[in-house]
Amino acid sequence: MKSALSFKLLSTQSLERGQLFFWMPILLGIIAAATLLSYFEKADPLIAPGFILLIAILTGWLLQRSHSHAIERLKQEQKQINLNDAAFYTRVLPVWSKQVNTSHRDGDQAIAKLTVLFGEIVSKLGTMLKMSKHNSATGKDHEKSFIEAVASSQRDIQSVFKDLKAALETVNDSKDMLLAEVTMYSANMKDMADEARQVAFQSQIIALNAEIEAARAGEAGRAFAAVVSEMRQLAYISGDTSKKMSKKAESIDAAMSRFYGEDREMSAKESLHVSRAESMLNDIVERFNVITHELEDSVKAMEGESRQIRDDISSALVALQFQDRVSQVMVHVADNINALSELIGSGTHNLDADNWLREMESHFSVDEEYTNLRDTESTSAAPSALTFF
Amino acid sequence: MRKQILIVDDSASLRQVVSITLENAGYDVIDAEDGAKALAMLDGKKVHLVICDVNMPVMDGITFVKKVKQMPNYRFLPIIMLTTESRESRKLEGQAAGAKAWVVKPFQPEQMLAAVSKLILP
Repeated sequence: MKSALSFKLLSTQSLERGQLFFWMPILLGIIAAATLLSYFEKADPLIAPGFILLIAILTGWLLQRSHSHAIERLKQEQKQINLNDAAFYTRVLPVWSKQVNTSHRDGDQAIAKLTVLFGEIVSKLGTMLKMSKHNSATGKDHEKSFIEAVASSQRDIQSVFKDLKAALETVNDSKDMLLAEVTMYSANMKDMADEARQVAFQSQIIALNAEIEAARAGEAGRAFAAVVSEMRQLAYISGDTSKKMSKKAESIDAAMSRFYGEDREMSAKESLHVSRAESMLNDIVERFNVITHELEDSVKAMEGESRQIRDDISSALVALQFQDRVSQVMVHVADNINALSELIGSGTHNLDADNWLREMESHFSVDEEYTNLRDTESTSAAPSALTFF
Repeated sequence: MRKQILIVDDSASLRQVVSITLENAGYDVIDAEDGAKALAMLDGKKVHLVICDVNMPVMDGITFVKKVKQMPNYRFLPIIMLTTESRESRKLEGQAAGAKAWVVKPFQPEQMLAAVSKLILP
């Protein structure tokens, strides 16, 4: 291709030289003839200059003829080369065009897939951020509601234990009162048994006296003696029963005392267990509280990272819009290559660069294309502009 | 009721970027790759705004806008031109056709959303 262009350049220069070859010897002959004429004015004024002029004309004619033949040969060769060039360009240019179109298509498809992928990531990150940030029912932050739930649980546990302790104290008080009453009734029963025993003893004394008096009365007191004997027997039985009652009352008193002692011990243990349970639950809630706060910090950090990633990908999506600009430029280049191929294939050899560039410009749609056409320094794309009509 | 926006652009990646921007802002989006397909989509659908490229195959954006403005149901439909073209002469063509705004690619999402919220039909 370079040699063909060089040949075309040589051919044009040769055509210009052909005119020079013809006129230069004639001009030199005229100058020489005029000089000789001025020197030899007196002797044979016309023979020598005329001869020189004739030779110059002949020389010029011969040179011009020779050059014309050379030019004719060059034209024939150039025609052959032009035909070869056309065949070359009509084969090569469509391949270039296809390569550009393929690159454009593949690039656009890849960018489209990438855009979809990025879009899905942005969407998922947005959903995740919404889910982690907001409680749809209350509008409160999840981590806040979580911390509040832990604090509320802690308050509930404290309240439950407070009530439990109060209930235990009430039960203990009731048991104390009951024990006191039972002890009092037991003491009363014992007193009553003692009194009954005393009455039985006195009844026996009276019965003994009555027996003595009945014996003194003789036969008349025999029936009375039988009654007195029965009364004495009853007094004895009553005294025995009173003793048993007294012993039972003592047993009850002793059992209540044991029960009271054991109950005190049990109550102390219960209080201890309740206090331990309270302490353990408070520890658990406190640990849970610490974990919750750590979790909250982690969630906040993750949210921050997620937000940053989402923003970065959004920026990348904005940047991917440049693919559209690249795509348009590539389409224009491919169309232009196709048009050039068709023009060369049609046999046109007189290409007009100015017309071609004007036609090319009429299809431009991107600022960089105008910049490249005018061969000015390429600048990056202008920031997006919004115009309302 | 969510507002529906039609995107018309021959670049699949651009349609995706615009869709993501609008869907994240709570709009429903439908799209078409050229003016002719977009016109067919408008028929029988309720669309509240159109975002349209200028240079597209089959039917370019300016022709599409002119045809939309001839449709009785969509005479007042707001249309935003979204294009790489920034020449004043092209903007005037868009304005004459009936477009309400001209956004040069690449657009910033906030800018696009501002234009949409300002122009979209109630």
